[in-house]
Amino acid sequence: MKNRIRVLRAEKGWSQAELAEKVGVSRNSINAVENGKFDPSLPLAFRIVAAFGLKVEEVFLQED
Amino acid sequence: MTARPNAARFVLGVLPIVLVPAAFIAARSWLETALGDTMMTVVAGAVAIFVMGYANYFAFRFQRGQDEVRQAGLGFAAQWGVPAGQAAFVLLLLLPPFQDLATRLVGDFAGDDATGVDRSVVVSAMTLGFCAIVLLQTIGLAVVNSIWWMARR
Repeated sequence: MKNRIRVLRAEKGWSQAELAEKVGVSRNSINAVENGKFDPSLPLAFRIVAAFGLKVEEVFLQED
Repeated sequence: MTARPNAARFVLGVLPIVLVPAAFIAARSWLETALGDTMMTVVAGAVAIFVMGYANYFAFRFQRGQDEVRQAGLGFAAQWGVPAGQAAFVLLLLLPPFQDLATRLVGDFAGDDATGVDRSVVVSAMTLGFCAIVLLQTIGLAVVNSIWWMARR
């Protein structure tokens, strides 16, 4: 699953560690999600989009 | 933020898994004299149950403290690491130097009766023990999987 976490993070000026802190996971975990190596669970996806103040479909994109 | 894995705490947590069997092996001769054969068997069983129970408890506690990505990593490691370890044991069991080492260890453990230890008996016993563990693990997996599904009906 694609996502816009890197772009959104850059817009906010947050490091991976800062986003990790906000959503309650490790920096490595944010890195794995951001690079599309791991699809987050719904609760984690909701926590990530809530940190950016966006909707799920604005952060995570379905791959065709 | 989930707790970062702390190497010192991890080592401290793993220590009983190493120390208890080591202490048991070190004190074996004294225990045999002090307790006798029957109690020695009971103590050996208790040590084995403690190590197994504590190792599982420690693994459970460690995994519970991780976030979902790390838990997925641990799941992947368990899925492939356990069969890899089993395969490594089977391969080791085929190697004569390992068979000699196992026979020597069993002989040492048997103490005065070490002279009569037969390599083929040791290898057969280890093979049967290994097969029993794998079989019981498979049954355990099937039972726990059934319980998991029953709880979600």
